[in-house]
Amino acid sequence: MDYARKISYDYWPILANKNGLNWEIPTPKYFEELAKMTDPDSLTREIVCGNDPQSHIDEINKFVKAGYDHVFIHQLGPYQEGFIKFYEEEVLPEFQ
Amino acid sequence: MVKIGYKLSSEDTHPLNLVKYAEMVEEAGFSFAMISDHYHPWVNKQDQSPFVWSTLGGISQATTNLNLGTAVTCPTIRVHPAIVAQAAATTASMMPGRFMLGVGSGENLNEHILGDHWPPAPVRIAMLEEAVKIIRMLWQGDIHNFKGKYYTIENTRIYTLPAELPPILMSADGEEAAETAGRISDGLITPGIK
Repeated sequence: MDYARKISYDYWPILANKNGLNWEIPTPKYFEELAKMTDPDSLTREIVCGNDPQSHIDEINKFVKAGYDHVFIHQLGPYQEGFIKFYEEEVLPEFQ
Repeated sequence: MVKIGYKLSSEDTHPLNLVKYAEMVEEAGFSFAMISDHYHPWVNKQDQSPFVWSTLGGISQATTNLNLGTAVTCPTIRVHPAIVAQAAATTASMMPGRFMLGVGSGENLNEHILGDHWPPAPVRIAMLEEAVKIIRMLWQGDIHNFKGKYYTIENTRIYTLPAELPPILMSADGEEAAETAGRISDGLITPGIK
């Protein structure tokens, strides 16, 4: 979980930015400056973090309940193959 | 039943890995994937940003059933809508019935590179609306001329068109964009941030 928080912050600090800021900043360097003003905790509040399948299923179901017919999941950072296997085994069966 | 998809993240993934992950998620039972289109990554740590239309060509030939869309591409400043119309028509021709064109009003991070002015959000949305109009116009085939507020096309015709035109989905993060999406697009893409 701590490692997942670190990876999320290292690669996707921009997900903590609010109020349309991400559409206005022109360069990666400035996004890095902005990242210094946030922290892994602020970011983690915005995402589902960790490998408890139920937390993923519950989050998807919020969108289902709101009427979404498609939901796509963004795994943050470089560990995509493990994520795909995790979803195949633990999450997708819930929605098939 | 809701369809579960996978985000192919161009900002931090080498194009060959994007193709590999698309194959893997098709095999794993995801029903669709959505791929981002960036010229720059958000932060240098991400360190990639391949050209999305080339990646899509690779994925089209590496998968057989996976539905695939852009989430999203911006047909307004860095790339002219007539070019996006052709790119999407080619992609849809290479993966019949499986492609979706997801569009959005863009980010300064990617759209500033040619020295163009970065307009405020309402103008960006108006540009996107005109861009979608041009894309749909060119997808009808035949030769078109159009002079709008933002774009001009002259004696323009797309020759390679898919038998089935892809849906156009629009991303919206605010009320005005969502209202426009409801009016001009075939589906809405919204961020799932809590």
